[in-house]
Amino acid sequence: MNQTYGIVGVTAVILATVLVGALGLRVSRTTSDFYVASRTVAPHLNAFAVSGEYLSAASFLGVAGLVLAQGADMLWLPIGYTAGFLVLLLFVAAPLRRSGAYTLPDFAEARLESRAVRRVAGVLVVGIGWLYLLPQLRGAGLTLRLLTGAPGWLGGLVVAAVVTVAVAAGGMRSVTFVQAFQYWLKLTALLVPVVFLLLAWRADHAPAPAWDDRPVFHRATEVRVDRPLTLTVREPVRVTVSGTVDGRPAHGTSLRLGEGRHRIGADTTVRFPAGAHVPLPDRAPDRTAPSSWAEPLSPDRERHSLYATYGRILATFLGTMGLPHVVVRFYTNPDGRAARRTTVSVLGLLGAFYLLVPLYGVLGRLYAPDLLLTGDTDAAVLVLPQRLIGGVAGDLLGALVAGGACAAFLSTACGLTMSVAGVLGQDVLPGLGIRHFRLATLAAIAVPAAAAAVVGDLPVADAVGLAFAVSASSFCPLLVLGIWWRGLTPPGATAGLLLGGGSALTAVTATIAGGARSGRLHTLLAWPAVWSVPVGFAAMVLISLATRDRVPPGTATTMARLHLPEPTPTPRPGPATT
Amino acid sequence: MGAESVPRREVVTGREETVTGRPPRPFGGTTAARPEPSSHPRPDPRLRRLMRRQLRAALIATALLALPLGLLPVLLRTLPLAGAAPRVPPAVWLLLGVAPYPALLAIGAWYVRRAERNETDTAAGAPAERP
Repeated sequence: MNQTYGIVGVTAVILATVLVGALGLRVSRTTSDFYVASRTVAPHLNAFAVSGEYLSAASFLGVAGLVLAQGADMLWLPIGYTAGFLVLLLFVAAPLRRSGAYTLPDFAEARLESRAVRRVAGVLVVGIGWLYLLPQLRGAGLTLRLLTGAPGWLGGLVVAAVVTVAVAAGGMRSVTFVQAFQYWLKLTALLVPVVFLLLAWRADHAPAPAWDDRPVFHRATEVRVDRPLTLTVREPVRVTVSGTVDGRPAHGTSLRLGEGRHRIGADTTVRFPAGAHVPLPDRAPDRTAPSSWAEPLSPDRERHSLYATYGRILATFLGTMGLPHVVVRFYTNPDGRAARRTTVSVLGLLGAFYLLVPLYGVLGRLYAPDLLLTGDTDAAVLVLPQRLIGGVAGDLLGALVAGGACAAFLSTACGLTMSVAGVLGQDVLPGLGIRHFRLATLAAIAVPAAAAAVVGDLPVADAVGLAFAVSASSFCPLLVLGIWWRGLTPPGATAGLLLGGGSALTAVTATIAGGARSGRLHTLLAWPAVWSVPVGFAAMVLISLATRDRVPPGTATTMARLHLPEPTPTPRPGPATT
Repeated sequence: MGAESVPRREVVTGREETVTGRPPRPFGGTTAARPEPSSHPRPDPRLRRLMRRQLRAALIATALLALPLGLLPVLLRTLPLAGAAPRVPPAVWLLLGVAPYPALLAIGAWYVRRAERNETDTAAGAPAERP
């Protein structure tokens, strides 16, 4: 990829973000402004902002990468990312807005009248936020590495710095404008290139990709290997190599790679002929992350994939409502009805975006199967314009896509940092106002930035799924039971949060740390939602029933507040306010 | 009109001075104080009815969402359509890549209309029409 265009694209997005954020700063004065934009955001603007914030690196880069690697099964992720908002709409949106709380811990305290529940919820918000920030920063590192050749950790650091400035300076008001702007940027950045990509694909006689475990180079492809790599070649293939293969240096020489394992040295370019099978990387035993995620279907995966599919469905359907950066946006709606209308608009906006994403995955399978070899499947969206179109047009479209990717991780990282900092600032550091919020912002982003530099490669879409799983097993029970069941008690809620959220968090941490790399245990731990969501619900219900005398005294009042429509605050014609 | 007895919605933040557990006022303190919880001693039958109706609407919508989508993975696995076959038929791509999104939007729009009607009905025959 021509680096200049890409760098210009990314720089433009970063500058625009800071600029739009600075404009917002001029209007955000009071603390209320700072946190929830004084609740004057209109449903449509708010829907753009929610969608802009929600469409993360996982949606923009990760889904296409996973479709490339594993095929149509991965389409469950975007379905779940969208359906999560429907579930949120059905059970949570309006009551949550009517509760008048800023954050999930606020809701927990308002509903259950307990500081202890609030503290547990706070810890979980920070945990989920950090889990979700991690892949964003990794996506940032990947994008900037492809664009500039800079090491991955540097990209994460740059994004962390921009986010800190944008969030600490402007707060929610400016973030609202930034997010709304970035939704349209992201949609454009996928929509425009895909038109040209499809035209190029048609001009290439519209080939259909194969989804077995032996992808083929559709065209002669030059693969650049940055890190040393061990491959398994299953059919002898004649390649042109510059660099080192099996310890021997080569300079543009033609080599025959026989059947078996081959070691490719760092900074080596290998050119494969059209029609050759893509050799797949060996999973090195010392890898820190379960890299099997980015591999095509293996028999082992196939056996567990139905369970994994349901794990994804459950986590994303139920987890969306508990994502801290999503929930915080509902407080910016003027009232409960506006919150519902915002959510319906979001369903449409997300659907429009996710219609485009699979196309990139399919085209990536055809024209960029070498990403399976290097393990950078998340880069599929970024490399396609250059591969399929090439020339200046390819460079320009590549810059557009890079800018969109940049918007994706920036917006989500902004929103997450905002809400994690909000919880840190209010619950961990003593609440003294805006100064502490800025301090908390630093803490909110520094931890995942450090972790992103340490933790190995997780495909971003599945890493995000881990955050969804924790959220689905902790906050989903809290919100659904808290809103719809009078019998919920503080001990019940605490037990549910700790058992459901805690077990999911443990499973997820074990997965990230690479505890179990394959087999049944890995599957159970990597997609915990199937068992941890029932655990969370059961714990909350059973412990609440056992502690019936602890039902908060204000439950009836709170329920009325959650469910009855607001008295119309603005003068509106009609006899509504008698 | 059932809403006038409802306390005004207030901003809730975590401040150390909360002793009663009641949500305190925000830092800015721009809003009025909340009425005491005791102003609403017993569950309101109208509220119960509204909650039941809202929950029913939500559960119907959930069924519309969960039944087709929940069965789809099993169906795709059982029918010899998708599987590990090298060529994934276009029907599968359409079913997973396109069809769910209009359906989700339609279910959402239906639910919002239903929920707003429930709320309007609860407001004791005072239809609060919105443009």
